[in-house]
Amino acid sequence: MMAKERGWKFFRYIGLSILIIITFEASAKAEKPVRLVFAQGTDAETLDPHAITSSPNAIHIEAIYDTLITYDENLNIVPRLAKAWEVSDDGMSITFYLREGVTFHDGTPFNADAVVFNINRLLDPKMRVPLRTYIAFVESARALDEYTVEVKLKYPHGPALHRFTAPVNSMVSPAAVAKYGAEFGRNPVGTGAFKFVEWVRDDYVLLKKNENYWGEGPYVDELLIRVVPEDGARVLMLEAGEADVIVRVPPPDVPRLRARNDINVVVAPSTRVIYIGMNTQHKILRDPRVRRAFNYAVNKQAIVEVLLQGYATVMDSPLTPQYFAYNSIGQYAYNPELAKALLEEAGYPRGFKITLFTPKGRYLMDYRIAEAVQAYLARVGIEVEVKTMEWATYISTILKPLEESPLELFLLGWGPWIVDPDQMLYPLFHSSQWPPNGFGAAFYRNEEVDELLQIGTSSTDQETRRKAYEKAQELIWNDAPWLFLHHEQQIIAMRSNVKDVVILPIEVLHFRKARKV
Amino acid sequence: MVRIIPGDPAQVIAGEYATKETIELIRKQLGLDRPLHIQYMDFIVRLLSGDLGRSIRTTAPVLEELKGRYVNTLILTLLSMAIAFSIGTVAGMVSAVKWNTWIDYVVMVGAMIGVSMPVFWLGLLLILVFSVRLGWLPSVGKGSLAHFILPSITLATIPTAIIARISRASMLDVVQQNYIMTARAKGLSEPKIVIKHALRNALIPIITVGGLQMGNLLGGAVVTETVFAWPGMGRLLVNSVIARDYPMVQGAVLLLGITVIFINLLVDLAYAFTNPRIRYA
Repeated sequence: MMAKERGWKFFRYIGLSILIIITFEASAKAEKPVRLVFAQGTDAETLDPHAITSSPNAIHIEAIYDTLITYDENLNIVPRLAKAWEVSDDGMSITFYLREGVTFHDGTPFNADAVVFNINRLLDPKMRVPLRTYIAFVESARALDEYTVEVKLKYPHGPALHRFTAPVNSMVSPAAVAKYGAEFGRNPVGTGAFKFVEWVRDDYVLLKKNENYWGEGPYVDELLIRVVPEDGARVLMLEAGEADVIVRVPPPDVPRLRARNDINVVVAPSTRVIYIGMNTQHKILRDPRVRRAFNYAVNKQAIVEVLLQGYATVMDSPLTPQYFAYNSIGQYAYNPELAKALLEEAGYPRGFKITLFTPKGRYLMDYRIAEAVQAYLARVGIEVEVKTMEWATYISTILKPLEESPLELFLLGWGPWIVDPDQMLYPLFHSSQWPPNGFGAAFYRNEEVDELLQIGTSSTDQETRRKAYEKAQELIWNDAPWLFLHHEQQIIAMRSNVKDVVILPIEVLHFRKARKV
Repeated sequence: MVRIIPGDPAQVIAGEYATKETIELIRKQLGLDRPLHIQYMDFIVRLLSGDLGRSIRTTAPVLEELKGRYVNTLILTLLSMAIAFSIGTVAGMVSAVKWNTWIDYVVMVGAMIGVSMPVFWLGLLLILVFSVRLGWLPSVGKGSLAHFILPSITLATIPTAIIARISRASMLDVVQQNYIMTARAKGLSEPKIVIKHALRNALIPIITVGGLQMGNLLGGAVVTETVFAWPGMGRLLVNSVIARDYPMVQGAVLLLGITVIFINLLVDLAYAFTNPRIRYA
């Protein structure tokens, strides 16, 4: 009897304490500043823009820092810290005219010296800048006066301005870098709309409104960027009202969320392409007929509709529609009969065995897609062995030079931060970019394509570039160094009182003008 | 061990867009271009001065990164073990005393469900019910006290079920001993026999299993930590292995190793406490 009573008391205490906690939290909420909570799957690796490597990390950077110029919603290049710019006639230098009266969060003035400092830091070989490819074309920078900077280029470079919009080229406070040294990545100071407050690893980054922001916004007092690795948990957080904006909503949850009037689901395009590369130096795959046969043998539309529930678009060119010079060539429509005929013509009427490497969990449904491709290829007599690897192992396999490369077929994604064809095509299809120099693991070589891509990267005349890229896309498409699959879509959900979050196809979100109404 | 796995931290850091030069440079900066035995000596020497080095992935000092997460994990583990011990032992005892009755069956079926239920699914289900539907508790992350409730229940489920089964078996074993018969013969009341005479002797295997479970929870709560976005050791360890963050993996394993040794010591002390015959000298 006694024990029973005590037991009940115990439960009553628990119940009571839960109640107290809840009421306490509720009353605390009433006085809290307006806080926007954004949840994504991975944490920042660093808050030093010059050291970042991933798109999820770029979202923190874009909130704390500013670049000189940036993309608007429609991917036009617009002013940011630079109010105007000028490219010299020979394409060898760019002059930036800076916004006046801007200060970093620590009070350091933003001026031409600060820009020179930043560019030198990005180019300094002793600095670890993994994404130096976005600044490598720059030779040097010098201040012409307090608010004018001249950037000298190593060679004329078509996409130079695009590259300056990349989050890695954000402006950091020179004084803060001097003060924190190696710890700067955990004590970020920029000019951006939000100031840094706190970073608890694997948990959240808390930012607060920059009262002195030079531009429009911010309209929320705090921006909390939370790490919630599990897709389902993020959806539940949104439904419970604990998150305002979430990314990577699993497609099966979309109809349920759409049915609610307090939640908006936004399906936005992404420039990330998913492809299966083919080692074009491989004894069988070197025959373009075989590679084209593979493209005809796989029903990509069905993969998009069934596995990705329609949240992707089948590729019809090596580029996606957001790029300038995009040339829609037309899909390799599903045609197993044609595939068989091509294989027979190439001398493989009975098919052959081949290996397909794939990561698992890196891209949406990656492993399932590999299995689907396996099944389709089996129908035309190709026996595919699917091998999966964990990411670090996979990357090091991809980057092996030709003599050591075990690659036959390999599934990968590619999503650059700029929407210029150069960053999309050159690293993957120019023969100078074969591993280990670059990421062209299909070991593709077509001298005409090499020449066209070279024109694209070094010419500054947009019409010349357009023609070169249009032709290059056609050649690449017909040579089929890839089994072209699809480009992804971003599924983002937010509470319906959240407005003006900018979603860019480069998988970066801007919260500068976001509001909660 | 981690070094044997193929894959290169420099490549992971540099990502898909890096050039060969960048990767080489990073490798050199990290000292990964030196022979393995020299790197190991370096690690030991620095360890002796309390320096675990810096994380390759985040460049922050390893010790600093570990500190917060270790505390998070420890609190969650202790809470879960408290739940597991209290509910598990009581359920097991009741089940043993009411052996072969419906109470016993209910408890044992419950324990079976507890052991076999996917933690992942249970966690999401709890969030769905208590945060989304009822709105009583916060869903994920940490902050207030209330944030501890759902993850510790989730994490406690499996150890609770295991402890319940062990306590039942151990209890059944003990109640058939002669001295219990003696106690009954003396005319002692049943609760007194169970709690004073039987339980104490039945505790030894329960403590043993509890200690093992606790070691498991410390480093192996990855799934629970992932579902509840809990910044703990399990997730840190997995992420670090994926990124080939050698200093971090070494530091985390070292810290967990020390903790497990400490738990074993506590278990041994608990033996002596519950059963005086085990005391030395």
